[in-house]
Order: sequence, then structure tokens, then C-alpha cells
Amino acid sequence: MSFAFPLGLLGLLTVPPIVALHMFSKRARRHIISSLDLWDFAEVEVRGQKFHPIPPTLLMVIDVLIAIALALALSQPQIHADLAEGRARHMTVLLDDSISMTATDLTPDRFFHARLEAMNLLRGLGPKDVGTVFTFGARPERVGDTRDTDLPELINRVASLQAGGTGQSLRQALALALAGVEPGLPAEIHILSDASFRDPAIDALPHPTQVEVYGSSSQNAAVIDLSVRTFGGSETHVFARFINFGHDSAQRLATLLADGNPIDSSPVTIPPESELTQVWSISGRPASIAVELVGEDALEADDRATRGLPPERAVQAGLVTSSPSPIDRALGAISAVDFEIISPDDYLPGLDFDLTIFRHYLPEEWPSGLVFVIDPPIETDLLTLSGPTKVIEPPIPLKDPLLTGVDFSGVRWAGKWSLEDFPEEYDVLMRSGEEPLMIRWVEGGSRITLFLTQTDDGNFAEHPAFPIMIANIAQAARGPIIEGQILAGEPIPLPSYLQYPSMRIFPPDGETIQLTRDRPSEWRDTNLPGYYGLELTDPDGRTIALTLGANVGTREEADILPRGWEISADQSTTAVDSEAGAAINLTPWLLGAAALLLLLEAGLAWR
Amino acid sequence: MWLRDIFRAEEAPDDLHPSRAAPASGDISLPPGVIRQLDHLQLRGSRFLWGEGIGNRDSLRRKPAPMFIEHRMYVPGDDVRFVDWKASARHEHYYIRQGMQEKEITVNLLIDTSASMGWGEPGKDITQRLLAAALGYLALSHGDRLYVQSLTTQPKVQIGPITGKGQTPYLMRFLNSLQFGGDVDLEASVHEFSRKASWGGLTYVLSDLLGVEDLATVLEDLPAPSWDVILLHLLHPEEINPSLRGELELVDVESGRTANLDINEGLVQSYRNRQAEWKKKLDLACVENHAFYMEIPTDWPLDTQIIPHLRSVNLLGDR
Repeated sequence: MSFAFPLGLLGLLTVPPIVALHMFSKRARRHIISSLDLWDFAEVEVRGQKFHPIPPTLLMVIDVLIAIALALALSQPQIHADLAEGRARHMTVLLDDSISMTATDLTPDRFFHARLEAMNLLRGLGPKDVGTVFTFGARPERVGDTRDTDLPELINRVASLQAGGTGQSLRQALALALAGVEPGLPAEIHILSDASFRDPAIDALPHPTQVEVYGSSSQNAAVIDLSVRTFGGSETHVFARFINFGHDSAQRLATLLADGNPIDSSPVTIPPESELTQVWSISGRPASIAVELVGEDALEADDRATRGLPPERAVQAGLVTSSPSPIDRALGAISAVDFEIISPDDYLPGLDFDLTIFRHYLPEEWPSGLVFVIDPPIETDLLTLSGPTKVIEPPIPLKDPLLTGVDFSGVRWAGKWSLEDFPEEYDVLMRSGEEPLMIRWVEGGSRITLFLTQTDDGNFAEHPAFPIMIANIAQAARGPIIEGQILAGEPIPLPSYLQYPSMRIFPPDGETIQLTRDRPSEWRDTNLPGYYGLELTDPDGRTIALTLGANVGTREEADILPRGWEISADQSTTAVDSEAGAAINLTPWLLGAAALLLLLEAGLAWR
Repeated sequence: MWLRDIFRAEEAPDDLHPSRAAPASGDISLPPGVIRQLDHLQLRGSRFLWGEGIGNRDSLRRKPAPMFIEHRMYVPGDDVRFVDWKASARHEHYYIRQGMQEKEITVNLLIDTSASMGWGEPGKDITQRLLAAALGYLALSHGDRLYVQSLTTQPKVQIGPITGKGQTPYLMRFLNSLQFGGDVDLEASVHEFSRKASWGGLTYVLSDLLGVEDLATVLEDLPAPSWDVILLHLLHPEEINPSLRGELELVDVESGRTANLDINEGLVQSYRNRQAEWKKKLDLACVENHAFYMEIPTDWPLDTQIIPHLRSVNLLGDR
């Protein structure tokens, strides 16, 4: 048995006062007699006690039973048919932890009730049962499983969950849940959500599935878009789009903040079920922009959108080659790059650029800054190569900002060189089979990226992937490729340790996270909306501070009205399994018993 | 409302509540059948009672009187009008005619009006006042002087002396106006009455005698032969044979004292034994002080049980 609201058991404290009241009312009967002298002979031992034992009257028993029934009903006890039958089951709880679950149309919010229900479901597990908990906000997350975690620990994990992030991943979570069902055990799935997104249209599930929907309100206004356009460093235009899902007009105060300072505040009226656009034009180029809708509604988190503006600076690039095409064309297409073509004969050590690209040539020593080597010469003081050999296996690009958005589909590769002497530490950015095609390492103050595939032959130099890759490299010279805003729950791509050995993240909750060498490729803990600060320090000790905003205001997330979707279960298994694993809520039975006892008492009192 | 009921202790019916100065249980009146019955009866008291005036009772004192009883020798100083000349002519001495003189006596009704007399269902005062009315009617209709006095710590009330049958309504109004409440100090009340009513007389004490510690002391204030005391001990059937059982908090109607008792059959039997001893002591005290003791349960009807019983013990006699 488990209790959905254990505090309700405090109602049992009413039993002693009830007994006391009966004791008062049923204390020794008073009887007036003409004279006590006639009874003076009575010895002490036959005299009654001042306080008499409580007569167990029927009314007192009924009152006590009513109090116990109501207290138990208040605590909402549940029992599982399994326990009575001694059968084990596998219960999977899918808990929606998206930001819409923080809507306050339930007190304190929807997620509190869903989390409480999940904990109660877990408490109802028998010793042989298996319980698994997933969240399905922005990404499906496996919270825990009683097969590898103690039940109290799992309950504690659920208790510490916080809602955040945008989007829903119910289908993925269901897939994970179905894949993890313990073979041989009847399974049941509980989906705890506000169902505020479109019907996931999930096919019939092979296990009984129960959907608990929380919330009912649609009164919500949100900032669903925040765009910033800068004009050099002199002017910035801010575009914000508001939406009102309520049935009444929303009166709000739209406030613009630049670098945390309020710049403008103006009242806006958003018509019901409509959008409204607001434009600001401010001078200068702040590092961060925020737009707030001040006013009360059910979901507070989406009333604010933030965005970081990376520092704007033109990249100084040097292209050292005797055959600059097509690299010069790619660099020329990038507005924020000032490049200079230098003939190998004219190249002098000490010419430091933000980005130095060597093609068919390598100097005697690496220049500082970012160095990109393409079509390297075979035998130099810096590199020893062999080949070229034919690229047999298709190249596999790894996840790295340098290759973000680079689609190698349709590339006809020519040949590749093999590096004879690898540096002590390097990152492989692209490989073909076991052979690296693109590596990166740091040597002194130089961050070197070596592209080992031939571009003289094949079609890579003419392929759209080539200028994109060059643009990414130029962007890397300017700083990390990190957008100014993300949706809460989206990962932040992180530059590698070699690029920025020191890195700190400042989430909105005020913590400071120092990332070490073994850092992940992306930072996933972004469910909390607000500003995320990044402080990157390169090997030269130069520090770059970036700000990005994690926003929750999307058209789908801000629409918090629960939908009427249902997830059907395979009827062939539902009938048997649901009976075996259903949790029986005793509250209605207890309330009914209390009502019957009240009627009985009323009947006795009437009589 | 219900909360107040919860905290209110369960109590006896209203008629059993302590009564400090409650009116009598209701007006009483002698039924015509009882009056017809009483018209053939008279109070019987000691012939040695001192009487005064002309009444309907025979006096034991012989004096020259028209109604001849006996002769005695003439002594100097006798009124020569009562010399029986005819008898003296036949003898050598003068003889005086002596006869019996009729007299009236005083009837005192001492009525206990303490709270305990108002107790019971019906109250003991009903039977007490009916009995007092009957006795008073008999006294008035027989030409006796009647005093009625309440015995209580409350302000005492009394009427009398009244004589004559015509005073019966006055007597009834007085009895119906009595207030029952408080406790009674029978010793002090009787002592005070005896000092005031030094003429003595046929005295009926109508009381439950509860709270009387020493009846002999009471009776010593009413010595024979001046006083002919009849103690009518009125007890409620519930006092004689209580039906109480279980855990009870008993409350004294007069003093308000309480006692918690677990009353069972054994305790009630002990109560009966104790009460029998108490009555025996009262009877013995009466015998020792030349008084007459009689117990009257208050559930006895006046006409069919009390009056016949009084006749059977010669407290009432035919006219």
C-alpha cells in the first residue's frame, strides 16, 4: 500500500479528541438524590473512580471509524492487485519534464503533482517488481531503474527532478521504455504529462498504458521569438514576437534589457489567440539582449527571452600558397574575414595572422594562431607524409564545430596522404576507416588543423562543402561557433580542449562549472532558461567571454492547454495485464464507508 | 449546540434537580370523597393534654359540672351550688356533684419544607401536604385550635391559631403557598417552636427526617404529657428501595455534595439494611420520648392506605 498524500494521515490525530469528547459526554451519570447521608455507609472500595473507563458506546466507535476513514481517504492510499496476488510486474513511468510542466494552474505547478504521482507509483512497487523512470522533455533521459538502483535512491532521484527545456520526446522515451521491459514480466506504462503538445500519434502499445494529464489552463502569453540585427557597433535592432494563447486579451508590459539594464518598457495588448511583434532600435552593440513580458500568467518561464551577441571582429587571415584558388574565393565570400594572399617566397616567419592557411607549402616553423594546412607538401621540416593513396572507405566526419553544417554527400574524393609522425596529442576530426583525414593539434601557440585529402583532384574543391568548411575555419579563428541563443534543453557545442584548454560555464542558477580536459563535446544541462555565460581561454591565455540565451518560448511549448490525445494499448494484452498491475485507489471506498457510517450514526441519532 | 450538549453532564430529569426555593410540586386539594371520609373521623390524642376553653374533647379534670359523673365529700370552700342536697339528705355528710368538662386542644402541624421533601416523582411534598390538609381539616372540624408551622432554614411561615371548619380554605391556601428548598435543622426549628408554643398539644411532625442526627434531642423539646408527638416519617419509594444501578455520580439535593458510587445489588442490599437500622433507631427514640413513630411511603394513596393505616394505629378514631 502507498499513500499519495501521506500528510493526510495527520487526520488520525482527530481520534483522541473524539474519544475525549465522548468521555466528557459519557462520564458517570449524575443523579440527584434526596440525601447523601443514606449512602454514607458506602466504603471507599465501592465508590466509583472520579474518571471512569470510557464506555465503548456504538456512537463513539462509529465516530472513531469515520475519523479513521476520512484521514485515510485524505492520504489517498493505493494498493496494487499484484501485491495481493504475489505477481511481479515491470512498471515504467514516463515523466514529462518540459518547461510547460511548470505552469502554475495547479498549485504549486503541474510538475509537482506529476512528480508526486511518479513517486507514489514507485512506492507502490512490490519487492519483486521492476520500476523504470524516464523523462521526456527536450530529450529522453533515463532517470533510473530498480534493476540497478535501490528503490529509495530512485525515488530520491525523482524527487530531485526539475522541469525545464523545451520540446517533447515522448516517442523516443516510449521506444526506450519498450526496449527495456523485463522479459517475462507483465508491463505497464504510466505517462505523466500535461499533454500540451500535439497528439504524438503513437501506435498501439503492447502494454497497458495509463496517461495522467495535469493542468487545464490556456491562459498564457509568451515571447516566442527574439532576433537581433546589428549594424556595425553603432546600432542594434531588436525584433520580438509575442503570442497570447488565452481567450482574453493579455495586457503586458514589454521590457527590453540590454546587458541586464532596462532600456525600454512599454505596455502592449496582445489580442486573444494572436501574435504581436515589437521592434526596438537601440544604439551601440550590447553583449546580451533580453525581452520580458511583465504580467501574471500560468507559465512564467516563457515570459522572457534572452540572446547573447558575440563580439564582432574581422578575422585577419593569410593564405600562403602559390595556387590560392578556390580558397581565396571561399574566404572572399566571408564578410568578416580580411585575408591576404602571400606567395611562399614572400612568406616570412613572424607574420602572425588570426588564421594562416598553407597550401602546397609549409614554413620551417608553425606560426602562432590558427593554422590550416591543405594539400601539404610531402617532405618538410614540420611534417613527414607518405602517399597519396586512394580513399577507399567513405570519410566519416566527427562532430566538431569545424565541420558543422558540412555535408560531404556527393564529394568525389581524390587521394589522401598518410602522416608518418603524429604529434603526441591530436584530435581526429575526420577519418576514412582507421586512417585520419583531418586532425588537429596544438604546438606551442599554434593550433594546427591538417587536411590530409587531396583537393587538386576530385571535386571537393568545387563542392559546396568546401566553402562551408573554410567558413567554419575562419569562424574558428574568430572564436568558437556558438549561437547567441538556444532553446532550453538544446545542447551547447563545446570547443575542444586543444582549442581552449580552460573553459568555464556560468548557468543561470549562479553555479560555475569548470570544464577539464575530459570535457564532453556539447553541454546538455541547459534545461534552465536564461543566460549561459561561457569563458574560453586559448593556449595563449587569451580569454573570450560569450553569452547565449536559453529560451523556452516556442509556439508549441507556450501553448499549455492540455490536448485530448490518448495512447492506445494493444487490447489483447491490456485486459489481462491491466487487471494484474492496476493500482487500486482506496480513496473512493474509504469515502463511501465514511458516508455509510455517517448515515448509520444519523439513523441512530434520529432514533 | 451539540457541543454544548456534549459538555453538559448527563443529569437526572428536571424534577429531580436540586431545588433551593422551589414552589411546591403543585396545588393540592382534598377530594370530596376524602372529606366525606374525614367527616366521620377525629384525631386521637392524649387525654392528658392541657386544654382550654370549651371544646369537644373530654377532659380528665373533674369539677363541679352539670354533667354528673360522681360524688365527693364536701370540703370547705366548695361552691354550695353544686351540693347535692338530695344525696346529702340521705347521709350524714354533704356531697358535691362532680362532672366531666369538655375542652378544646391545640393541634400543631410541623411541616418539613426542606429541598429533600420536594424531591421525587411525584414529590414527597404532595403526600405531605395532603396529609397535613387532612389532619388540619380534622382538627378544624373538631373544634381544635390549629397551628401550622414550616420547618426549614428558609424564612419560616406559620398560621394559627385557627379554629373552625370555615378556616379550611385558609389552611389549603397556606399549604399550597409553601416553598420547598434548602436544608432543615430540625433540632433548632423544633426547639424554637416549643419555646414559642409552650401550651403543647397534639403535634404532628411531617418530615423525611433526612439530616436529623439525633431525634431524641428533638423530642426532648416536646415532653409528654404537654406534648403528644406523632412523627410521620414520609419516605419516597425510591428512597425505600432505590432502583439506581451502575456508575453514578450522586448529588445531594440539599447540600450539593457529590459522591461517585458503583451501585450494584450488594450495595443496594446494604443500603436497605442500613435504612432499616436507621428507622429502628428513630422508632426507639420515639418510644423513649413518648412519641409515636410511623413510616408513610409517599406513594400511598391518602384515602385507601394512609387514612386506614392511621385508623389502624389509633391515630384516628370514629367520632
